[in-house]
Formats: sequence, structure tokens, C-alpha cells
Amino acid sequence: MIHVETDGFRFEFDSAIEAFVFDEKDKTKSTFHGMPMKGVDVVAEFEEAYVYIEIKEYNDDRASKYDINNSSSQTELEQKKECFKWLKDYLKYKFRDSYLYRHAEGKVDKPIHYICLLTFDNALNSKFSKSLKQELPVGSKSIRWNISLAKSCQVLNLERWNQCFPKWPVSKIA
Amino acid sequence: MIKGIALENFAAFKKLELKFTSGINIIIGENSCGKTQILKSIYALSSEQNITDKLLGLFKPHNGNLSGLYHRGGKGKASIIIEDSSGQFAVTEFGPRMEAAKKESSIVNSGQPVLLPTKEVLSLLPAIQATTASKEVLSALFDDSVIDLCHMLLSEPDGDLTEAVNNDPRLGGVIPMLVKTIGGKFEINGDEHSFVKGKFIEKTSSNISKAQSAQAYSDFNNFEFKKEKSSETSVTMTAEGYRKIGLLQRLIDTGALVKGKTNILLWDEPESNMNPILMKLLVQCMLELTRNGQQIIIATHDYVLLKWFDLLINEKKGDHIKYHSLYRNKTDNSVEVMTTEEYLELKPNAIDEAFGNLIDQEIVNDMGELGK
Repeated sequence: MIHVETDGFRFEFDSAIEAFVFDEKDKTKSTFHGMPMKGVDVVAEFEEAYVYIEIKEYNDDRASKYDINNSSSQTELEQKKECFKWLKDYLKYKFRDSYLYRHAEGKVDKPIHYICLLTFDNALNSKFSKSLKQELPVGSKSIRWNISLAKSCQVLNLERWNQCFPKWPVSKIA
Repeated sequence: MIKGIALENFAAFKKLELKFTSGINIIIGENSCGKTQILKSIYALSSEQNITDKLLGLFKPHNGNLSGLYHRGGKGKASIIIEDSSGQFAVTEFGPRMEAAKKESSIVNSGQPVLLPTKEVLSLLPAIQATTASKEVLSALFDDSVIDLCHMLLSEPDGDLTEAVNNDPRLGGVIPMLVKTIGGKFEINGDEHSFVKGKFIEKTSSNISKAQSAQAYSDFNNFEFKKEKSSETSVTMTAEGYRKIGLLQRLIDTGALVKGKTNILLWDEPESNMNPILMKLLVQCMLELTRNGQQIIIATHDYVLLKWFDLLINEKKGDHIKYHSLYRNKTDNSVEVMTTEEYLELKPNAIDEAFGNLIDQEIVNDMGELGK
């Protein structure tokens, strides 16, 4: 079991080969990131795959800013689309930069699953998941590609995470 | 206005209490938690008809007797109690083997409740009006909520709709909005039932100066219904979603809703057969009705409808929403309720859970046993 604490969350990874704070800012640590690139919060390695984890915690009021399913006016919809796009791009480029970094480390030899832990409801998370899958992209999207960047991408909240991944419990730390 | 309901040993409920707001009440929950049963219970008790007939006519228990409405495994009498805003009660109760229920009520002037079932009814009206089907046949085909609503819709309007829109400032907001939403209005003239395309527009008069017009507008509305030429179509030819919104227009037209009434509107799954695009307008219409004093209780399974309420609620306009989530207690499987005024605090949320289940399946498909 490997424990990782970051951004107010504590993860426990059963059967992990390695798990660490990927965007580590502490220069004294061997996992110090140290490059002018974006980085996901946590990377965990398992026998069959790598898992990249990005955490984005919003309070409830801010969450509705991204909810393009529901707007009360055209102006509000446009604003929400901007916010939605910003967050989607943020999550997308975090993944891509992390992939590049790991490529340079020689650590892209297994399928990669990208999981975003967001504090939205399931409906909004589904919407993000769909958009992010299209843009990462997930799978071998280009006919010229021999490997895929990401095997899968999931967007879920804390409650759903703990239901779906009982071997990787996550909790908020005070 | 209904302030609350308490049910014991009745239908799906061992013991349950709900407190309502005078505005919008939204009941959610998984199937078989009794959402529709709550609406029908309020309707039965608010109705002035014989309570036993009403309960049997609405619920249609499998054995045709009240015992079919007694909660399985219950102890003691079954009871339903509703309380109105002035603290008066209507109570009905019956034992597990009784053939008739007793009802006592101190509630006065509550008005005839309106229950809109999931089934669309406007297209049934011509057949019911022409009495081509006997009472027995109708009763075999539909429960009382459908038949009662048809009779309500067929009753004569208590005045001209345009006149009402112009004379009652409250209706000036609601009716033009409903008519705009569906692009016309439903009319029943004698045995002719039709949908007429058109909209309410503000009348312009060259004889009234702008200042006079502004003064006049503050006192009463100045709308006229502009009908599209030769646009009458049969009700059956109209989209089902439009027919549902048309129901509200017709109910206001006949005086069953809004017009100085204190009765309650109970609406079972307003979203059924509704194009999701119309959902925002539907919610706006319901909010506008409550701003005119109409208490509404709806039961829904629809995320979009629920979210629109959350997004369009305007506390400055006096909007007030209560969300009631029905769920089964894991210990004894009894139905319980969690009530909140904040959408995001709504737990368990069976509607959002449906999206959660999609996420679960995607994870299984994409990641297999990883993390499990």
C-alpha cells in the first residue's frame, strides 16, 4: 500500500509499484518536477498500467459556472461555454505535458488511464468526460499513430471514486 | 395551500411525513418509492367526493378493495392526513379489512385540486365529450386522475381568455408566455376542439398618447390575440409536448387554476413526452404560476427539469422551492424522505445517480478490474 497526500486529499494505492506527487515542488525530493511544463497531481504505476490523477476542487457555487447543460440566457451560456472550455483545456494540457515528461523519463511503456477528480455532480462530470475523451484524445485516433496517448479518461467526484476504486480509497484531509 | 401530508400504513408507506412550501415542491426518488402515490393521496383528500370511491378510482388496487391499499406488513389503521396553511386538517383512515374509509375534514375553501397525470389527455377530450365511451368503459381504461382532468378541461371558461389576460395583471404574465411557448392556444367551442396558431401582442392605439399608454399599462395589460389565418389544426395533430403546456392554458382558461384560487396543482412527471428544449419554458411557466399564488407539487425523474428549477429560481421574485427525495431505508426497506431547499444538498439524488451509473459502466469498460 502506498500513500500519497496532495492538494488536501489522501490517496491509498493497493498493489501499486510506485505512486507519487507528480508536480512535486520540493527540490529536496527525488520526485521534484522542476520543468516549465504542466503536470498532473499524482502518477501511480501498477503492473498493467499507469494512472494519472488530476484534482480540481471547486465549491458548489463555482461549479455551476461550468454547467453548459443549463443556462438562463444566451449571455450566460456563452460565459459558461468559456469556463467549460477553459477547464477542459486545462485538464487536456495537464495530461499532454505530463505524457511528454513521462516520455522523456522513458515511462510510457504501459497503457495510461487519466482520472480527473472534480467536485461536480455526476451529470456534469459525464459531460466533461465526453469532451475530454474527444480532445485528449483517447485511443489511437490518427491513422498515423501506432500507440495511443491515453487508454481511457474518467471524470468523477470523490464519492464515485470510492465506489469505483475500492482498492484506491481517497479521502479529504483537514 | 397544503402545508403537509402524513401517511401511515398506506400503499408504499409505513410512516412518512412531508412538509410543503407554498411555492414549488419537487419530489424525486427511484421507481416504487411512491412519488405518484403522494400526489394521488393529496388529490384524494383535497377532493370533495366520497373518499373510498376516490381512493379506489385513483389507485385502482389489484383486488378492487381498500385492503389492496393497505401497507403490506403494517400494524393498526392506514391513515392519510393533510394540513392546510391555516392549521386545519383532513383525515382519512381505514383498517386492513375494512371496505370503506372514514374521512373527517375541517379544511374549508381549499378549491378543487388539479392533478395532471403522466398521460396526455387533451386528445381524449372529444371522445369523452361525445360520451361515446360509457362511464364503466372509461373507468376500466383510465384512473380517476385522467377522467377528472378531462371533465375539468371540458368545463366552460368563466370568461374570454383575452379579457382575462387584460383585466388580471397576474394572468398578463402567464398566459402570453404559455401561448408563446407553444405558438398558439387550444380552443374548445362546443364540440370543436382545435389548436389555433398565433400569439398575444401588445395593442397599439393611435388614439392613446405614449404617456397615457404607459399609465394604462401599469394598471392593466393591453394584449390582443393575433391569430394566424386558417391555422386551426386538430388537437391530435399537435405535438404531444405542446399539448401538455396547452393543458395549463386551458386550465387557467376554465378557471381551474390561478384565477383567485387557493387550490393545488399536482403534476406527475411534467417531462414525459416533452422535448428537452421545451423544458426551460415549461419551468418558466411553472415559476410564473407560483408567482401568481399557485402552489405546485411535481414528481419527476428528469435531470434537466430539476436543474432548470435550480437555475431559474429567483428569490427576489419570491420563488421558493423544496426538494423532497424519497428513498428506501436499507435496514427495513421502508420509504423515507430527505427534504432540502438547496439542490446541491439533495441526497440521495436518484436522478444524478443515473448519470453516476453511466460513469461506473464506462470505468468498467475502459479499466476492467483496475482499482477494484
